[in-house]
Amino acid sequence: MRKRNSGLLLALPALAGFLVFYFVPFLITGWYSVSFGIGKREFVGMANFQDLFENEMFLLAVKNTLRYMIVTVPVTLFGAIVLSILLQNTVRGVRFFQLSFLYPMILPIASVVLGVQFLWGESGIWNKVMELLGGEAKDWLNSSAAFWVLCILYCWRFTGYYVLIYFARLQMIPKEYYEYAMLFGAGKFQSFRHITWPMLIPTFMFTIVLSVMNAFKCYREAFLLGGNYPDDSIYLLQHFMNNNFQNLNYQKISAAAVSIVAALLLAAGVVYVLYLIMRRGKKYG
Amino acid sequence: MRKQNRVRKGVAVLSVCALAAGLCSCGIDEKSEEKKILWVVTEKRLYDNVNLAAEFIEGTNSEIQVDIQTLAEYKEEREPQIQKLKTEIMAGKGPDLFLLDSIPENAEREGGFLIDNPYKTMQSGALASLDTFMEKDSYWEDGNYNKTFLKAGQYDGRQYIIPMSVCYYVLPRSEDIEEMTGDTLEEWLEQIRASDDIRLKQALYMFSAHGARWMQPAADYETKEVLLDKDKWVEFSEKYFQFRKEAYEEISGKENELYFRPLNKTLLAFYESQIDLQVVPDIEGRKMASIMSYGAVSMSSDRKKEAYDFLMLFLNDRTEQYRKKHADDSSMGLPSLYGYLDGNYMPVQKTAFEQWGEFPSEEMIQEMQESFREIDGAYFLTEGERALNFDVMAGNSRVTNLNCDIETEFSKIADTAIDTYKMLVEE
Repeated sequence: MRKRNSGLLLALPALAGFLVFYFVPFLITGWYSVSFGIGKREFVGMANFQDLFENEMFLLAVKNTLRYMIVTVPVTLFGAIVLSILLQNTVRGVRFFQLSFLYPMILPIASVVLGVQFLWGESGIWNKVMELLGGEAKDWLNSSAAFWVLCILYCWRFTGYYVLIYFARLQMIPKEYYEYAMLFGAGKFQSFRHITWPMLIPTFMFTIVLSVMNAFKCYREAFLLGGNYPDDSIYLLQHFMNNNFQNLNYQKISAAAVSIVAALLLAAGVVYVLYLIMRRGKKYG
Repeated sequence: MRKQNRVRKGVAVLSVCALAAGLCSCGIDEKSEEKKILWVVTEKRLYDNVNLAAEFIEGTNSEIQVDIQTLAEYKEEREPQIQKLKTEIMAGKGPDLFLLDSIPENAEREGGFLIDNPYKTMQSGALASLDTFMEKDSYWEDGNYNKTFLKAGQYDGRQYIIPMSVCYYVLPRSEDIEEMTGDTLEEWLEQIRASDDIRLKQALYMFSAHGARWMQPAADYETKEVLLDKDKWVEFSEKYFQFRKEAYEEISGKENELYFRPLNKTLLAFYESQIDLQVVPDIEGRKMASIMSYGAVSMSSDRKKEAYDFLMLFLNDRTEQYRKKHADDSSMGLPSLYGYLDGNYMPVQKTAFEQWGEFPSEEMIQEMQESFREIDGAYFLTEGERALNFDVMAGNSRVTNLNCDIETEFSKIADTAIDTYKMLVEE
């Protein structure tokens, strides 16, 4: 009992910070989302939400952001799992590989984007190769291909980071488990399915959250590739938010923020209910 | 045990109190209650005139104190300053009055604008409607202000922004230069192409940096329509860059004598008299001016009336009247404003031309007034125009230096511009 109370006390500064810097501003955002004007705000009910869901650019931004996450999150995490298992089985140069996985994260994003332009820009290497092969040069970064360039950039930047997280977890699995499994005739796939994967699940869940958060933070890359108004394919939620902030349209950003949080809470709720159902199903056979 | 519980409770109560005190203090207005403080945000370029108006207001009304904040000129300072101001505006604690400009140079310096897109900001509720004050103001009855400019500052039938200076291009034509007889830019192009006058060719040749002016207005933010007509724009671009290719041999190596010039102070310094100012039309024959500076009152201001009165000092003759009325007493020391805010670009009322132009000749004033009457409307420069101008210059370089196909190049540029405008109006 005493232990729990002390814990609460210790958590108080963090909780107070959360209340002041996140929760209270979010309540204010909630008020902004149902009112209009600045200073003396006028209650307008759901009008801002109605405007928002009729706004073509918002819908495009949501579509692109979802599409971006659907592509990048699984590819990055799957790639990271494969690479971390390969790394675990590597005998020599583990430290070198560990470091090299971190390089994409250390490099300044502006120079990375310069490199991307060097590869896929209008006068980039890719176009030169295409022309040599008799194809037609194209402004890849101002076409629908920009979306795939952005996806590649994300995967390249973050896969290594998740590899290190998975690798650290894999190192913690006792070798004896695998030895017992081998004794009982388990193959590599079975060892993975019955030992590695169950042990990785908590880390995997954690990296999903991290990966989704990082996918939301890809604005810098998209901005450096196409500016405030890039090609339709890479117009993301952050563009919508940022551009409306520049235009001082706070009710629109607030309505968008509340909608996103509501959608995330709804998704989390659905996952949690599914989890409860599955657990109850297991319990009762 | 009991003592420990009391300590815990005490800490908890203290934390809650500290939190509550912190939150409450957010709402305390620290400004002096003795004087009404009018917070004006402006650009360095406009500071001198704004300061004169502040001196006048403070000299005539002891209850008002004007705080002028000037936006920095360079990116390092300007960007964080603008972000801070935007956050303050969002919290409802922003400036009372905005006296800003939208000259492209600010974008080039990459510091950006406090109001990025005036059309969108009018829709956001950040600016106060000025109709109530304008209805009671006799200034708007005498017809001095060129009313065609007001439309750009309206949204949903209400006036939010008052344009304070504009820019349009003219052909400063002396008697020995052929008069342009066509109504559209395309007709001018044909006439100049057929003409033997190399000076006209030079003038049109140099007009390539203003691609965004070729068709205006390019978008209607209220109806969310893109008005830029791709076919017409590309057709004109083809003809224009073909003309440039043909004219290059003829004009290269010769000193440029004639330009299509923006009607500003520099032009007045070049030409004193005996000049005809022909306004350059766009592809569809409209004669549009871009707004170079404007004034708007913040929605969150508690001093909207005072802010409006301050803004109007740059348009009405209040300072002049005051000076005449108090010619004999010490208030002579108060400054006079002569109906304009922006010392460089065209004022929005013809009565200000004389003082603004530093007493140009009668002929010149007449020419300016005539050109002023011809203007069909005004528009704000947005990201759309800035990007289009940049793309046209880049396209020009590709067409000239790399011999790229004109139609393909400018078709791509038009597509990009239309996409950008679509995003701007829809967003």
